[in-house]
Amino acid sequence: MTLKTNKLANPFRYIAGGRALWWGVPAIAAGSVLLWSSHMVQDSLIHFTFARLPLWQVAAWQSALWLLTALPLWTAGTLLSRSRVRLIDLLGTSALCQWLITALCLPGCLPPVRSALSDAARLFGNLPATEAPIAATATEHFRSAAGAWLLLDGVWSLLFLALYLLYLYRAYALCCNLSGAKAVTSYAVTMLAAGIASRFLYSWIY
Amino acid sequence: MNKEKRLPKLCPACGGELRVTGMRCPDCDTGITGEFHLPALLQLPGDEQRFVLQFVLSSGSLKEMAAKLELSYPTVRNKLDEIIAHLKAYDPQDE
Repeated sequence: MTLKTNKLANPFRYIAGGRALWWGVPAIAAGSVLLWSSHMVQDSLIHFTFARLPLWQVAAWQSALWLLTALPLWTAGTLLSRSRVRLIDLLGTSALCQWLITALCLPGCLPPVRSALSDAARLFGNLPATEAPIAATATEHFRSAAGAWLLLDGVWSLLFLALYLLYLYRAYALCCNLSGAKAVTSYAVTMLAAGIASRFLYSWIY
Repeated sequence: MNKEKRLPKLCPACGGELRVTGMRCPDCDTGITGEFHLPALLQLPGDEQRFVLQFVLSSGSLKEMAAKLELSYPTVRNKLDEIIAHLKAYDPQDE
């Protein structure tokens, strides 16, 4: 395998800690802007929903989600690994993984996807009774191209969500020097717990 | 042609641990025979021996090693932990 392929397959072999954090924090910011502009929010680790929140709230929540991922993984690693696990490595590499969430949100910039998402937000979001005619228009619109754009966006999102989880696992396994069933099980349990915690926290705050 | 010769550690016939039985001074041709265990460090594979050498030359700084090897800190630390595990397996008394 060439160095370039290696770097793509597991970039954390080459970048972690403070350097990864330096490159990862802009990803959290960019992801927040993209989510905010598409009137969406990541209400748990693997779930997105429609919400019209101010930009600062979306950014604050995205940062909270990043910490809700990195801190439990660091705790699990510290408990299970024989190596000395540094918090900065987990913070940096999980921030770097946020570029995949940013990529996931990218289609929201395309005008047809953005329009389809807006319609969907009006249809499935908190719709006041006075906006019923808008819903009717949106339903009509949905039968046409908007549905196809939403479907494409859905497939794209699933792909990048899967990549995000895979790369986060690679970061966790490398930073905590864990492998095999121990790494997979502890990662799955930690992510499940963090996912549930983030969902509850979101409904509690917003 | 100066080809780097690798020191064999296991017997090709039975897989048992090889021991040094002779040494010779190339200057005065004095020879010593006996049976000597290989030190744990010499039992490491070549790449791990080079890693240990680099580690010592970097004053034991993993950060410096990571910068030199263009690898991340956890990658270098994991390699060191792997070598420690190998050394412990070769020389369990050192634990």
